[in-house]
Amino acid sequence: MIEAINLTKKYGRRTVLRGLSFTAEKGRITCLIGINGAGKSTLLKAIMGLTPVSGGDIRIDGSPIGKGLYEHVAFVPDTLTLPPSMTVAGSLRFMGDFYRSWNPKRAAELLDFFRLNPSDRISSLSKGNAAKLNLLLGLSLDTDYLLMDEPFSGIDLFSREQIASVFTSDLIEERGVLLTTHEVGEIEHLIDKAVLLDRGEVRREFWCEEVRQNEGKSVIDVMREVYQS
Amino acid sequence: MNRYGKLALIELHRFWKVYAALLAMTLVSQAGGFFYHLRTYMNGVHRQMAERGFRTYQEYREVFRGGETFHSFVSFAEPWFSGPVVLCAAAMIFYVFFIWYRDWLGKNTFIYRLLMLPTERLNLFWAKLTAIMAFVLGLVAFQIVLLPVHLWMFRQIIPPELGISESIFAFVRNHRLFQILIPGTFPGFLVSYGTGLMSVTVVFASVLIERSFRLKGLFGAILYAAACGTAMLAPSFSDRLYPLELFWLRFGIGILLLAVSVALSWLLLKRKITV
Amino acid sequence: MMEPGDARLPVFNNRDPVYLQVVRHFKVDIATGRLKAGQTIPSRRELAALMNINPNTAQKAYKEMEDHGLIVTEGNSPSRVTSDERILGAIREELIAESVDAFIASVRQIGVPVDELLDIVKRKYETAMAGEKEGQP
Repeated sequence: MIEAINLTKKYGRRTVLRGLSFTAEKGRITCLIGINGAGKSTLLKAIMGLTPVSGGDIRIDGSPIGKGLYEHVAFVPDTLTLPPSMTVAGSLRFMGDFYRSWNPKRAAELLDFFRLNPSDRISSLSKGNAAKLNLLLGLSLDTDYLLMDEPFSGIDLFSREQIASVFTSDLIEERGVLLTTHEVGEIEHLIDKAVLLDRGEVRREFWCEEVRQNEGKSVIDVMREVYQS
Repeated sequence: MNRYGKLALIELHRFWKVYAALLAMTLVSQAGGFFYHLRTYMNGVHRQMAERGFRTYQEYREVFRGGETFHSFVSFAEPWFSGPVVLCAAAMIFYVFFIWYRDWLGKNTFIYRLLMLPTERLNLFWAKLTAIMAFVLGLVAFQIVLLPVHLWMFRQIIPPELGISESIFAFVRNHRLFQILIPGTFPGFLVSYGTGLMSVTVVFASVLIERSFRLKGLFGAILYAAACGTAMLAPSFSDRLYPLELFWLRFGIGILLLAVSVALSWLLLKRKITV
Repeated sequence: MMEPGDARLPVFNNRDPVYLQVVRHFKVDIATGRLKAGQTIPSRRELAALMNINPNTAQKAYKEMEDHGLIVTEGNSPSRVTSDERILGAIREELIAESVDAFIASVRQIGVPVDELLDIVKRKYETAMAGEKEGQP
């Protein structure tokens, strides 16, 4: 389980996270929903130890994040973070060189599934292909948890469908998935849990099926209630 | 290979094109400039000899006071020699900063990936430090290899009556720039490059202060670098120390600053760095 | 087996639990005979990919159907539609009752006499069925 406990973060005088807590369970898809600037990206970066928090605790299966945990938690940022001169094949080699949890067989399958050309350079990839390679690098690590920042934003419809199909496959089975989005729309029935963020606070955290069953409300209905009250 | 080694290789690989260009520029400028200069000189000599009907270089030498050393020939073509050296030095000083900043710049911010590697983050620091030192030593080594080539060219073009060839060693001892670049003794080498290594770690620590605290960090970084510089220079202002005491004091301060910079970088990379 | 080409894929609404919508989809297929007694059904992974749902939801739907005896799973072999005639009959009755209840709830507000209503239902239903037959090749 990924636990964020009472996280606060300030950039100078601006407070980005205000005592924020939530959990993301293993084997479940948890979605952080909020408009841009709600603190979603900062939260993921903080969980990955890419930016320090001003207060609070982050625990992953009970331990704080550190170098050992990068083999247990993979992060797919909102852009592909590789040197432009690297090739697609080079990036897979790079990952294999450093991560014990790298799964070359799965990487090869995904390369095929996404129709990526191994000899292409990072700098020459289209937006959709860059997003696919980015996802491939995260999915090909055999980690317990997978964090994704806006995996659907800014890419074409067909790339989006291909990426969505990953969520219904065994690629994410058994893992804990935590993703962010500013627009829940088409993935509403894919997610298990929704965490609604607003200005650095959790406004509501709920299991989507429970809310449908008990309250007869969709995720969007709940968002409307929360954000318009 | 361990992860530090792999990271160091990646750092070497990422700069090699620029580095190769620096080496090529040095070769072309020095060898080309010197060759041109020597040929122009000999053309002048031959013209004078033809006008005055000299038959030997000996006659020319008696009238025109020939017989200059390799060193003085080089100094006539000085810009062609020192120019690329200064440029390479400037490029390396720039790269000491840029080797970090390039990972944050642009839309492909590689620093995300680097910080998430399952290894001590200090290995990034060691890899970058290794790369910088390897590049600097490589440039110096290349220069050392080039000098005999220049000397050989000098001997081919200038007849012994007009040019006195000296040893490379003597040449380096007398040259303003090369005597700094290529110290004559092993302790001298350790002092020069030890100071260089220490300075690079101070700059690295300063860059990491800035990268951790951004604008506030910029002031912190300048303060830190200034403090380190002051600490290194301070003993020189004392007139009560013997040279050997001064040396050991500086040595001690240098080691201390190196250790502090590495420790500070370790702490910042572990706790404070932000993408 | 359900194939992507011939399957009628449900369009999910976002206000009812997705797993119950999946269960209902299966009930309709069983009641109409599209799924026969004893026929194998896709694995939960296949179902998740086919219906574009989270594997957890597929799992939950299957569990629900197993609990109600709609499907049976023996050991490691694929799940099958039950051959229990009682349960199969009950599914049909349940679906009919559900739809009729919904219809009555809505038509009651208009207050039509039951004979007139039955007449209209009969006529409309026959027209609709005839139309459906014509539409098929």
